[in-house]
Amino acid sequence: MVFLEGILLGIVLLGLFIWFRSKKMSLTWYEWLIGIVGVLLLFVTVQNFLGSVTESEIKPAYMILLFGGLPAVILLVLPWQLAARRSKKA
Amino acid sequence: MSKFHSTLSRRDFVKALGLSGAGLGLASAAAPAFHDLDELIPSASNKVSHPWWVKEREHGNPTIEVDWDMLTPSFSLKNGLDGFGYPSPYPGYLVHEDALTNPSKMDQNKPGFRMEDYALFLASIQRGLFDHSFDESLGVPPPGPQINNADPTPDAWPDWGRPGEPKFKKVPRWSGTPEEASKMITAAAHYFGAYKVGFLEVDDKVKKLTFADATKWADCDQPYATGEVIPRGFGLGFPAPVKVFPNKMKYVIVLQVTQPFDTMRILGNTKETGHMQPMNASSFALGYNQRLTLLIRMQTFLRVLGYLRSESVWCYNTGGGALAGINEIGRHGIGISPELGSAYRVNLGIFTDLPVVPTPPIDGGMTKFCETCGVCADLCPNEAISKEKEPTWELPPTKLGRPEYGIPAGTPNTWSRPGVKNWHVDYVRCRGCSYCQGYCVFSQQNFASMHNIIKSTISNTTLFNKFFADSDRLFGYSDVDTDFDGWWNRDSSSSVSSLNYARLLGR
Repeated sequence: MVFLEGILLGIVLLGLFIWFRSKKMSLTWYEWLIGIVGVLLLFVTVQNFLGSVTESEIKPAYMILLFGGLPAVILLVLPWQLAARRSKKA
Repeated sequence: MSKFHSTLSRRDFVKALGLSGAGLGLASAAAPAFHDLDELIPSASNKVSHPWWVKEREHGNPTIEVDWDMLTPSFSLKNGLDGFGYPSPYPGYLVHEDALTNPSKMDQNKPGFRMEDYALFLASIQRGLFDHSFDESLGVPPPGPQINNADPTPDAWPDWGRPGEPKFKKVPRWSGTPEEASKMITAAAHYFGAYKVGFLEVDDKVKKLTFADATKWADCDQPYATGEVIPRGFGLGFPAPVKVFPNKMKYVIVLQVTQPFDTMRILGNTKETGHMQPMNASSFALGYNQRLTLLIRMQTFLRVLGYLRSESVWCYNTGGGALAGINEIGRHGIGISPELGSAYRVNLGIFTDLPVVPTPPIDGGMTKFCETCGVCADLCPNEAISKEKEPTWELPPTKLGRPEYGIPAGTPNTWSRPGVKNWHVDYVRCRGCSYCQGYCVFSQQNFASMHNIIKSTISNTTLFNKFFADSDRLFGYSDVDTDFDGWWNRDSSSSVSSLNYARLLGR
């Protein structure tokens, strides 16, 4: 599980890096920070969601999705939008 | 010299080599050297293995405060039995006519009370609490758990002899250091089914956890029964034969016994009755079944090694576990272990003359967490668990009593011993259902990584305790499972059940 998550995390980060390079978008240090926190939170959420389902704790699983997944998505969208709008202006 | 092609110059390389050599030299001087395998084996750790966030405390000092001078010996008829001295007649007994586990309550149209549910319970209790448990479940008076503890096969193994006997010279008993003995016992007990193993040295503190009226100590060579029997009575649910143990039995092997997790948490609408249900009781009973099996195996193991061994002679196993570093003690008066929470059955304590290394009590912040949490007290259908924030030395009277059994509210507490600062459970009210055990916040399974993150935080700071306790409720961890039929229809290829649960649940 941890192994697969590690591979997936690597692929996602590499994909993001290549995508930004191809779009010629650059991120400021704080956008990187927010994005990395978002990715980590997303993976913690996924692990805990799947773990809770294995535990047969269905309600807690969805609560985790709500309280972990939602902030994670916001944290991921935020740097993307900041960078996209900046590159549009330029 | 340019460092364009290499970041390491020859000078740097030689310097690093010198430093590495010095480092290796220091490391090899500090590290233990092994000349053969016999030296390697005892060097492995013989400590209780705990998660990294659990701290060890000094010996004899668990996280719950104990006034050892004030604490009276247990199992005295005057003081009761630390929670098991129910004033009788009491519906907590599994076989009491009012108990839901009594087969007379069978109802084929009611989930959890069908014939298969009672069959599950009665099958689970076989050789669990009593030798004749099936008869006992149907109403025959129990012969007492002490009978269980007698060696069932006294002649099945060769007697290796003891010091002073002629054949002792031919086959000397096992010998080794206390560290080697601890490691060997741990390996064997783990194989026999114990989840965790701890050790104690018998002192006055440990003796206060034994059945004091029925357990005597003397300078004798072998344990023996005096023939005297303490009759069943107030504070004593079964007759207890008086036994004398040699003073040389100075050590205790403490074995943590599990019980099935899934059935323990299927409680149904216990709010209506506050009783243990057959399915829930089957988990409890299977745990005691495992306890007996483990006891017999470990007794036999010690016997073959040539050492003395007792039955489990303590009545306050939670206290024994706390001293041996197996668990802390919670608001609900039962143990909380770092990995299993309260979702385990009992700590078996086998007294022996095999020298072992005592293991210290632990601190994972769990008793402290109980001050803020109170999930068990909120869930308790019988209002038996205190909701006070702080633990106390006082022994409060029963708040509600059991008027239906002639015990009025306000009856003074004669079922707990003074000398322990905790949240004294109102055992007049307790009916043995396992809400507090199964839904303790520490009893959660460990597949989701946040459980260990939370536990390690609790161990290091109390700052977030209220937040974590509130989150447990908010997230629905204390929503009680009522799906009896779901259990019968479970997919056995993917669901974790039976006694193996602890190892299969990522713990």
